[in-house]
Amino acid sequence: MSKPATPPSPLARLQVPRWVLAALALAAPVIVGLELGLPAAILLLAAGALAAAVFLGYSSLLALMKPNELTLDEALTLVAPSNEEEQKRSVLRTLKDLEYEHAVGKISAADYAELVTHYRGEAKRLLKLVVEVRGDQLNRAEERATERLVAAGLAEVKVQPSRTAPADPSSSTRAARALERRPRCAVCGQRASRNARFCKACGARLAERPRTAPKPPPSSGSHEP
Amino acid sequence: MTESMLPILGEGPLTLADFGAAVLCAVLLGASYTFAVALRAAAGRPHLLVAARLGAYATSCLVLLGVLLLSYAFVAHDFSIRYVARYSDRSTHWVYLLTALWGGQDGSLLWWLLLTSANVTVAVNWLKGRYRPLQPYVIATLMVVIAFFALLMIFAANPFQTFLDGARRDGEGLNALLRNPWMIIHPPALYAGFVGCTVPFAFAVAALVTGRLDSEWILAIRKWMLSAWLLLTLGNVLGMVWAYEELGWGGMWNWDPVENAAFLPWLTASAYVHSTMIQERRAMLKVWNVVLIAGTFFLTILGTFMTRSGMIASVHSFAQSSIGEYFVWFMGLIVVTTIALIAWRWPLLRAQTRIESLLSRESAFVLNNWALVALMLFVLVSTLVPLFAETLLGEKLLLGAPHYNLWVPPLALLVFLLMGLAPLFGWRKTSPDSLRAAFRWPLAGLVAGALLHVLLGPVIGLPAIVLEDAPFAGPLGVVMQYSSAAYPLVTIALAVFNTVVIGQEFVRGVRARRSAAEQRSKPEALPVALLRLVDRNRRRYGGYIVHLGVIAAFVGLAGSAWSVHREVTLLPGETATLTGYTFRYDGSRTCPGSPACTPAQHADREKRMVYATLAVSRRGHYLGIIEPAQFVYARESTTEIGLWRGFREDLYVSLLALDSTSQRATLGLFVNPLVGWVWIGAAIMVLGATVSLWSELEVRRLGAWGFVRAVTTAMTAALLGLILALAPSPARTTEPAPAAAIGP
Repeated sequence: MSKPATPPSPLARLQVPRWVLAALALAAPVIVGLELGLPAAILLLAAGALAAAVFLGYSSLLALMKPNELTLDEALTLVAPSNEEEQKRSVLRTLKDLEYEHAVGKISAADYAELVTHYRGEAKRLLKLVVEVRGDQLNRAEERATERLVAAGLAEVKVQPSRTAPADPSSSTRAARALERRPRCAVCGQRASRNARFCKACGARLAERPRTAPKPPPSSGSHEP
Repeated sequence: MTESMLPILGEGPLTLADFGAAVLCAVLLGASYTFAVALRAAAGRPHLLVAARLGAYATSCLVLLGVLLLSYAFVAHDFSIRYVARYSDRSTHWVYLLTALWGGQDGSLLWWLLLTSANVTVAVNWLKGRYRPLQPYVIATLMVVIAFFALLMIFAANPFQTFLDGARRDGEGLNALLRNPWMIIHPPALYAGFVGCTVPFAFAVAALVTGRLDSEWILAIRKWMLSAWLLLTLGNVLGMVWAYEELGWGGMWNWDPVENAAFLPWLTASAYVHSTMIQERRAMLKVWNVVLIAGTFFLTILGTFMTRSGMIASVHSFAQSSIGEYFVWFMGLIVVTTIALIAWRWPLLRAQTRIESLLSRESAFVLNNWALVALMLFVLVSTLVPLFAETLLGEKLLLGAPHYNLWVPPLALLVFLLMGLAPLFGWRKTSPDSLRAAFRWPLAGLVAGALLHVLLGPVIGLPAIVLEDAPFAGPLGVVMQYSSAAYPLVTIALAVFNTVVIGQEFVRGVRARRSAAEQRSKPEALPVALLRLVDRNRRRYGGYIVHLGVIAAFVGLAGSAWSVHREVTLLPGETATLTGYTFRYDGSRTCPGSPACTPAQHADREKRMVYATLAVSRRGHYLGIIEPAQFVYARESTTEIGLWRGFREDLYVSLLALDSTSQRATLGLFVNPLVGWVWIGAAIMVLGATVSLWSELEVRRLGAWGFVRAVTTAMTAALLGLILALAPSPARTTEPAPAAAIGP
């Protein structure tokens, strides 16, 4: 995994900050418009749109002809929330909602107790499912993402062999290493996710520790926490 | 810049029109390419998604190029292009030259395509790190929509089409009715709402194709649908403002087919923003939600078809053209695809849970959905009946405003009642004790509101019962006559009921919050608790704020029951009276020409402005001058009303005719109670929807700059709503009296 993740895009090669490009794109037609009039400004914008269309079309064809490996973004989307996680979120939201409705007196205590028991059971089942189905997958994805970031110089190297590692360490070694780095629950001894605050197995609060991972895989933006 | 300095495009072998047409073909090509690549990406080649995304961006840039070329043709007065010659002339102001782009059929289709592309660009960029399994199908669906419009323009409505016999010396000019500032923002806002429904539809198709039908796609489209709803609301309200101020008939909504076309998707979108909550919470109504999303998208396309094809007579419609057939095929494709996909995925769509009690929020939402959809179906059928009657029976049939005004209010009031009921129930089931506690105050409010209205209404000139003539003969006519007489009373009573419900929700929430805070020994002051309550449940309380806006709008619409209208013909010096107001006609003046004209009026080359001057007083107390006008353009003239706004009522005068020799003026005098509350309600709805949309804004996640951008955007939207509600009429030509003097 010593190869860079993806070749930089032609735009990135220009080494111009994005905001400079945006400011130029805004300022140029305004200046031309003030100096030469509205039609000239519109023509300039049209020329810009044409150039952008050609450039993007060309880039698209390049991407089509020379399929690269996944970009980092796409690697991260591999760990996008699964159906089980979506359901888990939905159940947790329902629980939050129930608490609210109980607090404002919309449901009686008996109904509340019954519903909460039901949804807690559901949440437990889904959490377990998520860990079973996705746990290993998530770990591997996280591991690969970290390696990429390290290779790209975007993250610190926590485990030395990662940078100088042989070209292709076996996936089992990698997984074992990832496991090593995860915190252990002081109560039951289970390994937890690196960003977890509570143990998935027994629910005990985990000891605070500095975050070493560059960034957790982004969950889908439209979800409420 | 003088015309001689304009760059010349069109003298060589390739004209601007040829280039524009080629760009449209390139759009079709780009969309087809992206569609193919996206589908390939779905079939096990995920890295092709990069190519598909870039293809989508390139296609959007091509659409932008097409729009810029047409804009250039307008500002450069390229009258070899039919569309430019039809909708502009050399005297048109440059602002209206740019807005003329959506003044007619072909250009507005291009404008529609541009807004769709902008939406596609934002959606594709937003999708980058999300919903990977759905992504290829979302992009592919969006590309089908773009390809359809490109195809339509290439073969049936090419805005770059030229005259066969060479360029014209001057154009015909923009329709004078469209030379109104509201017209600059009404079509873009409405179209933005229309095209905003495309992304949710693409997600629904993607969810059906992939079989990922849990709450994933529902959550994904939440803010897309909410912002589309917000824009549809804004677009509809701006259209109402335009109709109120520009058409001069004293009202704001005439059930014109095109008004209906904009109203229909708003109804289904409103139904959806409620039913989605049931799927999120209870995993129910999956089919219903898919149908609502597909239906909303279908209705936006139907709306465009009705607006643009001219197949249904309307003040908005353009000349008969062949685009109707294309639309029919496309609508057929949408319906068949959706039905086929739903049938295929039926086993996954079946509900895993069911409604357990009638006394639950789910059932209130379902009832509210049925009422909204029933209202939509009624308006849809009424709009389409004339078309079918003419096509199938060969008979001309007209269903005008009286038909709608007879049947829509009961349905709308049912929705209004359900709006108040739903928040009183809890999810799944509500115990009788909770119900009693929840209903106590709202019911007291309802009764008190009704009693106060009955007692005080006649005193303030807004009686609770307004009996009018029976709409038609027979017993049903009498029933309708008496039930519609009670609409003002019912509306006001339900408005009080709804307000108490929302007030109660806030009070209970704050109480619960404060008592929980006290238990934690961290007491919260009332304003802090209120702010935090809204902040922690933005979606819920944003929704309640929207409901407050709906209440204000209902009160404003109920005002039409008490509006008074009189048409008078006066000679200078004569007076007319209406509900306590006295209008003395002091003659007319014409600009440019009269010494009383402003320098800007003197410099106007576009039109001649004829003002009628009326001195208004109320019970002997002089209020000020109101000046309705007629603007005479080269080929047509418009009525520009004189308008004084007030919280209690609007004073609205239109100049219908003026004899230049005798100075005899025919005037329409209107007193429209409570109209302003419609605009205030719209502003509150915008504010509430913005609060709801805010649920994603967390500084931690967005970064400070992103947060600032988002807040600025939201504030701009809210400000626009407030300006809309409170700004003086741009068509007004009067010196307004102080607000206090307008009321009784």
